[in-house]
Amino acid sequence: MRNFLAQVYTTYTGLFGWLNWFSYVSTVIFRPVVLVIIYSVLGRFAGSPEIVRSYAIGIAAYTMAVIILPGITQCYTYDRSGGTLSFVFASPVNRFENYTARAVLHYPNGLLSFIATLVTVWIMVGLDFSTVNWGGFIAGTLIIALSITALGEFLGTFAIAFRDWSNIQTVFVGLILILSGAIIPLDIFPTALQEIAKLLPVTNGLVSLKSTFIGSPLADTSGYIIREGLTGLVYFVLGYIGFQVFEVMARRRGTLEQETF
Amino acid sequence: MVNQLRAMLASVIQQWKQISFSFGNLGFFLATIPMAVVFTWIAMQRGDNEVLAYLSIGLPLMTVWSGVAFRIGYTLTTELSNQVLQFVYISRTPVIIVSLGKALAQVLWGLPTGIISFMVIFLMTRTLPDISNPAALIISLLLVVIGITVASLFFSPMMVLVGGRGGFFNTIIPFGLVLSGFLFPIDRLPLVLKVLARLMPTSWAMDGVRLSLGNGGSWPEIFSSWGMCLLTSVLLGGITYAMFRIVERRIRITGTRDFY
Repeated sequence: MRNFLAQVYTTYTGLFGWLNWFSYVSTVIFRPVVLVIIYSVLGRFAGSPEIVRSYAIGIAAYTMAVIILPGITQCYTYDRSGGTLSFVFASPVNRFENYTARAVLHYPNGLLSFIATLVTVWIMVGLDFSTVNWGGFIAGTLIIALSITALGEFLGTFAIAFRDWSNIQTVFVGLILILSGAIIPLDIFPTALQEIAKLLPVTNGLVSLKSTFIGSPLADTSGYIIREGLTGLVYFVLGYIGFQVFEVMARRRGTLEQETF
Repeated sequence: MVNQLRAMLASVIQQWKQISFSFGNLGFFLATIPMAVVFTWIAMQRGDNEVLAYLSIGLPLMTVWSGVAFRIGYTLTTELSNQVLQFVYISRTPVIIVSLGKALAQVLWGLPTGIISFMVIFLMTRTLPDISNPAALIISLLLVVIGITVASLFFSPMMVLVGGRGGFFNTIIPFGLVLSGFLFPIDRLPLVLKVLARLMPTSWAMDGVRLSLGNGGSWPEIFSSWGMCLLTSVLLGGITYAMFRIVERRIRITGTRDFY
């Protein structure tokens, strides 16, 4: 456990490039605030001043992805580019422990961004919290943040295996913005696209989050929240397999500092 | 003056050659698509042609700004960390001329992102903006490009002076989007933000864009927005120049070149 905690701390403090006061506060707290201002003023300009209320939960969930995903992938890419990943692979450290440790402290950053977004919407347009089913809403939020974190771990493997990994992250963040239902309702897309969207984190959990926000019991949308959790689990497992395969390939080919695949 | 222009052109070419056209930079262009889709979708909710026309022009410019501000902002810092900034200072060409050339190259490189956004909007709305004064629109767009360049260049010496680290632009770029007037006219903002926005040259240039669309505006209004755009560009350029001088002072006089 002590080893694990040491890795949680060192991978976060040593490899998270935004861990200085200005960048951290501005990224985790102020960026969501600015995003809310953009969406609300644009909504007002487009003739729907109240529309930001309907996006609020979606934007909040999206901001979790915007902070968690780059945070975790930095943890991997800087480990390789800084030359420290070779020490990890040379050591007898438990790989699963190391893989899991990289994500732990990025998880609360997502939650902080989520809260900052909702507070801003509440202050700016008076988001109504009076009917929220808090138990279900909090559970939904925690599970969505977990599945985004799992996606971050999955993308982390790409960040050490490919030089141009950031394209993959850009695609995932873009897909979450467009297809998760955060802002654009999912039902306007063709059925096939809707099914693809359900393979992304956020999409399933957001249904439950929106439902519990208006007071529905979690049981009504438990299927969605279970699917959200399973989606995260699949990404997490795939990421771990990728992490293991990367090590084997990098050792075999001597390509730790190059494109491994 | 001619020599300085020649030096600036040379730095445009140098930066252009240095910009990598690798597969890795594909993300720079891909990132514009989701933003364009979502913002267009929001604007389409009421189907107001005036809003869609404004966004058809503003959204592509927004994507250019959000792409290049980051790159231009890091220009001087990157040279500092790569230990090549001292060579720029050995040359007799003022470093702001060199940096301006580099900034122009970055803006030129970022312009295709605007085209991608424009195509996304067109595909979604199937309408082209109703332009009432094409000549005024072209000049306003040129002023927007100048505004983007000046506003982005501002961050280049600033990054060195404040020792900006990773993540420095994470809030600055979205905040710049709010104040730039690309997504909505500045008069829609709360008073405090409106005042701040008026310090940005692009907010005035976008007024010129708005007055060239739809029902249009009178020439005095358009001239006034152009004049204010140029004035704020000069003002911001002056501050940027002063910051470049401070950076130079650190290098030549106090000898703290490689320190923040």
